[in-house]
Amino acid sequence: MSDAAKRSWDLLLVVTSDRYGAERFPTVRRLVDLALDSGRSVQVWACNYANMLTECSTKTAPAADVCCAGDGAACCGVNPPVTTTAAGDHPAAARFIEDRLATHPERFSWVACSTCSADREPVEHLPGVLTEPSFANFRSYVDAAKKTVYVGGA
Amino acid sequence: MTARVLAVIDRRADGTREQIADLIEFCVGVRTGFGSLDLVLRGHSVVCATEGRRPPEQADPLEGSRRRLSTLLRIGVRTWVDSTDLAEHAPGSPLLQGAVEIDTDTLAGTWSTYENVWFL
Repeated sequence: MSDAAKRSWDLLLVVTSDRYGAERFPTVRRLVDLALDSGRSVQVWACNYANMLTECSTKTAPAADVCCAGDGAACCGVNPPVTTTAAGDHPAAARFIEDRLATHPERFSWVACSTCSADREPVEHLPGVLTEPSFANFRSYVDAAKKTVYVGGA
Repeated sequence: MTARVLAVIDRRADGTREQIADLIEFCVGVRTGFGSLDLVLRGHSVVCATEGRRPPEQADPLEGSRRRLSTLLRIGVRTWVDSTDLAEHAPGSPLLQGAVEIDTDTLAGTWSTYENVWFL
């Protein structure tokens, strides 16, 4: 577990959705900014398709919108298909995460659980994004947060 | 003893089998990590808590989730299945051993006893 998880956080958001592009990510963005604007700290645990928000793979996507199709994969079970760069697919989300990491390094943290992608091609994440090799450490992150909100929902 | 986490799976029209499978997998991970879990199934996910009725030669898309839920039940994950949704999605189907049919609306009064109530 990283040092970032050991410290205390005011809020932990759990994001696993394959719909972040259209529906869920604005929720994440609003909650993160509300927490930061009110002086609080917020950590995001991303798994399943939400990992793709920060992945920087160089693979070519088999289909343009495959990662938003919602017709495959399972969190920590069946692996999501390898697709093109997450940052490339979701540049607005990637820019948001990069910006908040840069402007609030002490109060914002984004954690990519790599269990889902363990059997896939190795991928890089955006600079500053933490990676967790195992979902087993999820509890440590919940314990380190004063409040956990599950945004959902694969 | 109340578990630390109450997970509620409540999917309606968009509750495809892949999505439900993802959520059951997430529950397996939470049970592993936290050591305890209580689970409420609503909407189409109630089908996971019923014994499969298809002939063995027919592929059942929910069989994997059903097996995982059976394991969770065996190791003590308390699982409540909504009676109204059961009547709609799997009328007459027997429940997996250990699963309890109930009007899950009545469970809302217990939420305050949990550290975490997550709508998956």
